[in-house]
Amino acid sequence: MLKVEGLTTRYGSITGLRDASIVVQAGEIVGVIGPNGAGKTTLLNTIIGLLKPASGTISFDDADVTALTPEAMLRRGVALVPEQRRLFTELTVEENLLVAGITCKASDRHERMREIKELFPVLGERTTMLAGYLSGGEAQQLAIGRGLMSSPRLLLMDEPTLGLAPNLISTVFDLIARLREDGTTLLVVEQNARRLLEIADRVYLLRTGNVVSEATADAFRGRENLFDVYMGTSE
Amino acid sequence: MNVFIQQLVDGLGQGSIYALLALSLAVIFGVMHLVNFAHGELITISSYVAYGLSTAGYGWEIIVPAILVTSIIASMAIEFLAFRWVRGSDEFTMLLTSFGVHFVVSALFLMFVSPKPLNFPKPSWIFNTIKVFGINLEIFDIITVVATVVTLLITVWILQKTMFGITLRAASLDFDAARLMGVKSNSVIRGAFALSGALAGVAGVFWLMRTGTAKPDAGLTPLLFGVIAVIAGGLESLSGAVIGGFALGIVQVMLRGYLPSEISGLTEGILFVLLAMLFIVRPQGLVSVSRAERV
Amino acid sequence: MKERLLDRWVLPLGGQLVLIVILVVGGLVYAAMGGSGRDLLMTQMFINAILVVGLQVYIGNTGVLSFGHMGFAAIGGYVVALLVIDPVVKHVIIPDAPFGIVDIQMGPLAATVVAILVVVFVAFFVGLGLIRSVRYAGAVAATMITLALLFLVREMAANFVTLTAGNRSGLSFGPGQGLQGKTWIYIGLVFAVLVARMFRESRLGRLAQAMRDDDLAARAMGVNPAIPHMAALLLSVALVTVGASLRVLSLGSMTPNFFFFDFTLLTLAMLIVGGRGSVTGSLVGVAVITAGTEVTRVLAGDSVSVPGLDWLLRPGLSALFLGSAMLGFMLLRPQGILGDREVEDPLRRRLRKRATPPEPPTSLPELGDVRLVTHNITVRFGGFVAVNDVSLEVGVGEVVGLIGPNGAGKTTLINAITGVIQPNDGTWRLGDHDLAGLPSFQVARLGIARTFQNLRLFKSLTVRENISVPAIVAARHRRERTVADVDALIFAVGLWDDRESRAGDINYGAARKLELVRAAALAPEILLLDEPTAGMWEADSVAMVSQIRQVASWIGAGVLVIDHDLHFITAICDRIYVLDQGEIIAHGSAEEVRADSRVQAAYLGTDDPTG
Repeated sequence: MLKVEGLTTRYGSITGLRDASIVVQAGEIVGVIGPNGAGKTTLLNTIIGLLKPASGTISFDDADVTALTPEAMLRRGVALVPEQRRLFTELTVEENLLVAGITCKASDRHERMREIKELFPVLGERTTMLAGYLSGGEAQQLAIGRGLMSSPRLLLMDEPTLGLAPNLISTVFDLIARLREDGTTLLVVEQNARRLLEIADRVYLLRTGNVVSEATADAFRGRENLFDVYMGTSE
Repeated sequence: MNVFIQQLVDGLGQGSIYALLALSLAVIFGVMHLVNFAHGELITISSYVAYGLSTAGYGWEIIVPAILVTSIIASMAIEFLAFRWVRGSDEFTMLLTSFGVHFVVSALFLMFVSPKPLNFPKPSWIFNTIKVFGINLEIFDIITVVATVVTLLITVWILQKTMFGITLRAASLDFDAARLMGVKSNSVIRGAFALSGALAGVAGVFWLMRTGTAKPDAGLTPLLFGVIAVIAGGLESLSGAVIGGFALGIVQVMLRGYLPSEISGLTEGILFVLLAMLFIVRPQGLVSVSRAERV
Repeated sequence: MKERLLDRWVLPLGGQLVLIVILVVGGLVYAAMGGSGRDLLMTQMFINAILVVGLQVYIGNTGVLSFGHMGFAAIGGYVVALLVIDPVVKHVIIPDAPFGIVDIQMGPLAATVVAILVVVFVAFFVGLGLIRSVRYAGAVAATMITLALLFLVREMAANFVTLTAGNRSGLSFGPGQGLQGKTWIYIGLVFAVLVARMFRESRLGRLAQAMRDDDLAARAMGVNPAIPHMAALLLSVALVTVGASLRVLSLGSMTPNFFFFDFTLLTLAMLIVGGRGSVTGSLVGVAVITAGTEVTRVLAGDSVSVPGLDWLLRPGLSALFLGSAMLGFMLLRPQGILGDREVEDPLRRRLRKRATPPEPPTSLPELGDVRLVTHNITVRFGGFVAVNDVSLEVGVGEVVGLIGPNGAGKTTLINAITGVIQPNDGTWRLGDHDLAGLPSFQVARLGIARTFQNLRLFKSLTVRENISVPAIVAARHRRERTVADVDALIFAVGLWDDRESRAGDINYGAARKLELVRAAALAPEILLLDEPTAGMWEADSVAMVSQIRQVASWIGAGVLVIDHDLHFITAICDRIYVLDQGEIIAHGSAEEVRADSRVQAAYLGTDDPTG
């Protein structure tokens, strides 16, 4: 479904990617793990078209989408839930969802919003509240809800559990599993590697811009020295 | 007391024009961090349209809509011709670009129309007064204030209730996040320029009714007052711009009215001192939007 | 010693003198070929050069665009005109002027001095507002304040008729009262250009440029943001006043529109087109724009006719030229013709290339046992607790690690210690000094230097100049512990060949090293390194380990290293703190920390959702 080949980026001091390649098949949950500064966020931002790669190609459904804008990617069925959520804090919950539905047909927008509110009942209760006043868990649900407004076939998620309490982390992972059952393919960047390994089909390990390892989640989970592999403290 | 109320209404009338201009500047600043110096040109261009139509025998009932349309089109045209190319540049590059546009436009009028001011008739009712509770008020001031309030209400409606308005506010808060949601940079920026042009158009109507003059720098003075209003209110706040505009108008009129005549020439000096004091005490303007320092 | 003299004085100032001679001779030759109109034009060009160079001192060094300088010029111009004009004349044109000014008379020189004092006085208060705006509302807001100044000065001049004689007549000098000859103009020109050039090389100038490139980093290097900005402003308006005085004296009158929008455009176009970053650029801009306006003026005159183009060649063409020049440069080359290059740069570079590598640095005198101690620091952002009750200690001579997953609060903690943000709770001290409530530049001066995770170098300054910024601060505020030889530091970490390159142009690994030595040049007691190897290749980060140790031992500092790379941290640190969700969850040797189950859970998450 998604194929990234030889992606290299250069942006001043932002951590770049060096010749990174990944593949996502339809119906999979694919994880990307690695320490800070490994280039995970850069990878997602480049796929969605917010950043332009220096070299390398990205294809989606066998079409080249390397130079497309986020707007064009959304229309093709790819959406991103960004790191730190990036909610419009001075807009209401409903307005946040509406903006995220800008690529939908105007007639479908409210219907889609109703579905999202069913999926996240708490958003239905907070419709007119400013997004800046939501609690961490609610804010994350809104962030994911925004990502789903365009009914994407492939959802990219960047650190969806960052800063959440443990019980909320479970909720998010349950949700990810449920989204897959509903037919959404997911590419998830996550620091909570153990939990990600439980639900992911395959995982890529990134370190300083390189894909250093790719394996099925089971194979990763089996490694005794997962921590050291992750941190690079053993080779 | 009567004099005070007269002054207050006069100040509100002046302030209306500043508020509209300040708001129109703030709308653009919000989406692209450009202080649009070329905004005065919308009034300049409108002034020649008004002059042309008026010489051709049309009355204000035609001129007013013509000014609004001109202003919107000119605003979008300037964006298309100049600002599109410096989008994302640093703020000073954009600022100087708009400065350049200002001089090019006024030079073109100077060269190809006339360097001299061209006068056209003001509306006949402009100096009429009306007695309200025994106080003589200028009809023009009242109409200006009412029209401004209506315009502001419409603007609030657009910003709050239309998809375009919500998108515009989202893009002002976080442009990249808005792009991630599928907002097209082009449409939101063009839309902002159109809205901004409309607001400047309304301000232009009243400014030109009052001055009745077309000249190459007709828009300069109102623009500068608009800029002062928008920085006094706080560059990043739409409500601040409106408040700044009204405050500026009222303070200016009050200073003129109440300063002893020997030093009435100091009005603008005192205005600047007040402004400088405001920036020393509240550098972010009257209505501040918190700017988190990012490390 | 001779080379130092050449480098610091002879080449920069000599270069400018050569430029002045070229400008003046060129101008005089052109004037000699034509009538008095040309002579007047050239006189004005020389005066404009003074004004533009004055503008450059502020705009070039602080990076803040000012529309207001012509407002200051207008104030200066009025003071000069009011003081110089014969009382007899004043009794006719402004009989009711306040402040008893009608009966005062001064010579041009004395009047200029008074004008400078008045303008500097006004500029001081405007400057307070500007400095605070730059800091809290952004540089554009400051620019808008300068615009307000320009506009309101002009409005006041037009309306305060009893003093200024208003818009139409203005203040006219009696016959023979203005400036005779060009001697004073030449003196003013040489003075202004040399002063501007010297300021660019001066300590205050360097600090202003550092602020311009990155004010947060400059403050972290101990630069008080207000001082260099104010110095640049006051010097700049003083030079502008000299130019304004000469302009008024040479033209023999003063009106409100004399120093208003059109003249602001002219002078700004000169500065921007030539290159606002350098004095050479200003002078080139003056020549180019003067030539351009003169050509367009002649073309637009009646005497020239170009078939097919006559529709364009009409009065106003010069204004169109100016506007288009500004617009064209902004769209195509916003840094101007020269950017920040000076005429003598090639010569200087050759001179500097010859320098021999210095001796290795000598260690600084040993410190007593100074410790950075934080006690229960808590930082909240709204309801979110970013740092919770953190206590840690770093002493001189130690290398201590601080690790934790993304979002753990590591950088927030460093920001709190260095005064970038103020914690909600807790105490933190360096030795005997309580650091609570101190702005970051004072924390730096007391002996805590830091680096930044996402490089914050002074990009347009060279490697040496970058390091000179903390060295300048240290020489003044940390006398007992000044790093004697900046070059030795540069050489020791392997930046010698890059020393004259701009920090923005060197490669990533070199930039990381520069962050390190720049902080070290402050000769701090404690170095806080925020992810010194972020984004580096493995091999480079290994080299970085030894460099950090080396640098720390020279300056005798204690080091707190933040990193996510445990491999790196293990190699460098004596002991390690682990931060997660804002709290210290472990503390000990690398081995202890690695084996800690809470640490593993923090990084990888837990299998058990309830744990």
